[in-house]
Amino acid sequence: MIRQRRRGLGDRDRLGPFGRFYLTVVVGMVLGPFVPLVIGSFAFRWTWPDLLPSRWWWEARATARLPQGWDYVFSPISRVVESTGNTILIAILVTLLCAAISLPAARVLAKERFRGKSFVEFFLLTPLIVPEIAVGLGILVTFIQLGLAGTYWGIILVHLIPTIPYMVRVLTSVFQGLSDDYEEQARVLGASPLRTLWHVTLPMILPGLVAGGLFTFLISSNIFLLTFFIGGGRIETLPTLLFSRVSGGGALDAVAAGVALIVCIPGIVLLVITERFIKEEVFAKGFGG
Amino acid sequence: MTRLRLDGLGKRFGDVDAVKDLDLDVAEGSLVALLGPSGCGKTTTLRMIAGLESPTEGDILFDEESVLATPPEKRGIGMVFQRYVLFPHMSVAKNVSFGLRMRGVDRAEIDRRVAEVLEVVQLTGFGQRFPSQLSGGQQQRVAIARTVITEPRLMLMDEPLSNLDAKLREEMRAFITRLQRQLGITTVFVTHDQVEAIELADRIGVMFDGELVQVGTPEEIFNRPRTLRVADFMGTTNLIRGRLADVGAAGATLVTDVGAIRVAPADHLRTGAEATATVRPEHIDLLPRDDATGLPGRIVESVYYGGTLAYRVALGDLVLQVRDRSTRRFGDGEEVSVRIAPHHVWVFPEA
Repeated sequence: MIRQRRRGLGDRDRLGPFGRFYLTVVVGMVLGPFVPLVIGSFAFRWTWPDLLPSRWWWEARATARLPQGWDYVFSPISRVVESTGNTILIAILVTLLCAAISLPAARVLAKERFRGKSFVEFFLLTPLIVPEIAVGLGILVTFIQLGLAGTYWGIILVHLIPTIPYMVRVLTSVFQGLSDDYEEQARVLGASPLRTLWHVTLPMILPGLVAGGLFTFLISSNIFLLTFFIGGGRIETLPTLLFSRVSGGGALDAVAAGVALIVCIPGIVLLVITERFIKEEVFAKGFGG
Repeated sequence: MTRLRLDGLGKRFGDVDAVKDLDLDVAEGSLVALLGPSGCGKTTTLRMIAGLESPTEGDILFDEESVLATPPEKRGIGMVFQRYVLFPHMSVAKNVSFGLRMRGVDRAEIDRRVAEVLEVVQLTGFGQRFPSQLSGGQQQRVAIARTVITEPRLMLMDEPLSNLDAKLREEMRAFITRLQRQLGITTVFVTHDQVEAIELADRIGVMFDGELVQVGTPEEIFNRPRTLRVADFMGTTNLIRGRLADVGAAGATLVTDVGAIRVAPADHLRTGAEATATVRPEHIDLLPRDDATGLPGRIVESVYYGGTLAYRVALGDLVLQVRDRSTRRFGDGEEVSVRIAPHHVWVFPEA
C-alpha cells in the first residue's frame, strides 16, 4: 500500500491533471490535520478568531528558551518521556503476547475442520462488536478484585482484547496460503515439530506476522479508553496523557499540540522500519516466487 | 539398504477406505512404482510409509521392524513431493543441507557433502541462488539433492515429474533411474503415468480404489494384466468379446463375431467360456487384402504420428486401434487383412 503510494509520487510526471489533483487532495487530507498542530506547538499566543498565532514563541524569546510546547514536552513535569516509555513497553509486550496467542489459534482455524468452528470464528470477532466502554467497565470491577487494576499486566491484558481479533484474522489468511507440504517436507528431512516451526513455518509466515504485529503495536499504542479505565491514572500512556492535556479547557494550546505530535511518533517510526524490513524480505529472498 | 514391507496396510477416512488390506514387499535397493488413477490411494500409501498419515490397520516394516511408533523425522526416509516444496526463504545450499543441519552434522562436513551432491545433480555453482531463480527442472533436481544428501534408508517420490514439460520429464526420468541405480536407495515411486512407471520401475504395483490389484515386473503388467481394468489402464484399447473353443496344449481359439482368433496356451482358459481378449494396438499387423492369413477389415481412418501410423480398422461392427511401424501405408477405405499373433492376445474369462 505504502509502496504503491510512493510509486505514485515517483511517477508524477506521467499523471494527468485529474491524477495530480487527486494526489494533492489525498496528501492534503493525510497531512492537513498536522498543520495546526505544528503551528500551535510553535505559538506563544494563539486565540480565536486569529487564523495564525498573534504571537510566535520567537517573539517571546526573552521568557522562553525553547518553544513553550516543546519545553514542556521535554521537561520531566510533563511525564511525556515516561508515557512514551510506557506506551512502547506495553505495545511491545502486547504485540509479543498477542502473536504467541494468535499463532496456534490461527493455524487451527486455517488448517483444521471441527464442530463449532464458525462459532469460534464469530466469537473471536465479538471484541470488535461489543463497545469498549461496556467491556472496560466490567473488566475494571474484576481487575480491582484481582489487584490487576493500575498495573502494567492489567493494561497489557485488556490491550489483548481488541488486538487478538486482528492478529488472528491476518495470521489465519497467512496460514491458509501456506501449504502443509513445507512442514511435512521439513519433518521428513529430520526436523522435530519445534524445529520445523522455527526453521520453516515462522520464516515463511514472517511477512504476515510482521504486518499483524505492526497493526497490534499501532492499536495498542492508540488505545485510550481501556488504558484509562485499567491504568486508573497510575500508569500514563501517550493517549491518556494527551487526553488529560486537552480535557481541561478543550483549547489547543502549545503544550497539547506538542504532546499530540509526540503521540504520532511511535507509529511513524515503526511504519518506516517495517516497510523497509518487509521490502528487503520480499526482494532479497523472493517470497511468493 | 532397507527392505520395505507393508503388511495388511489400511487407511480409513470417515466411511471411506482410502487404502485396503495392502501387502507389498519392496526388495533392498529396488524401485517400485505405485501406479493408478488419481484418488486410488497411492499417495495415501506413500504418506503412511513416510509417517505423515497413520494407518488404521496393518503394519509398515523397515527391515522387518515396525516403524508405526516412529515419527517421520526419525524414520530416516527421504521424500520428494509433487510440487518440489523448496523452502523459499533459503538458498539452494541451505535447502540441500537442511536435513544434515537437523541431524547436527558439522559445518565442514556439510559444505563438503553439499558440494558433492550438487555436482551429482549437475547444479554446481547454484548454491547461493534462491529457488525462485531456478527453472522447474532445476528446482526438482534441488529437491532430489536435498533428499539424497541425508542418505535415506528409503526414498519416496510422489509424482515428482508431473509438473515438468514433456522433454524435461524424459530427461529427469533418465536422471532418476541413473541416480537410483548409482546410490542403490530403496525407492517407492507414485505415478499415474504408465509409461513413467514402465520406464523407471523394477516392479510396478497397480492400484484401483485403495486396493493393490497386481504387482509385477513392468513386462508382466504390460503383457499379462490380471484384470481388464489393469489392461485398460496400461493402454490396451482393443477389447474383443467371444467364446473360447478348442482349449488345449497348443492354445485355444476365441470365436468372435468377426472370425476366429488364436490364443496362446494358458491355465485359466476353459472351453465354452465367454471371454474378452485384449490386444495392444502395436501388436496388430495389417497386411494387404490378398494375404489370406488374417481377418478381413477395412481402414476407417489413419493418422500419422512421427514414426508410426495410427489406424482405426473396422472388422464388421468392431473397430480396432492399430499402430503400424512399417513403411507401407494404407489409404482410408482400403480393404486389408488383420493378423494378430497368438502370444499377443490376452484373454480374461467373463466375470
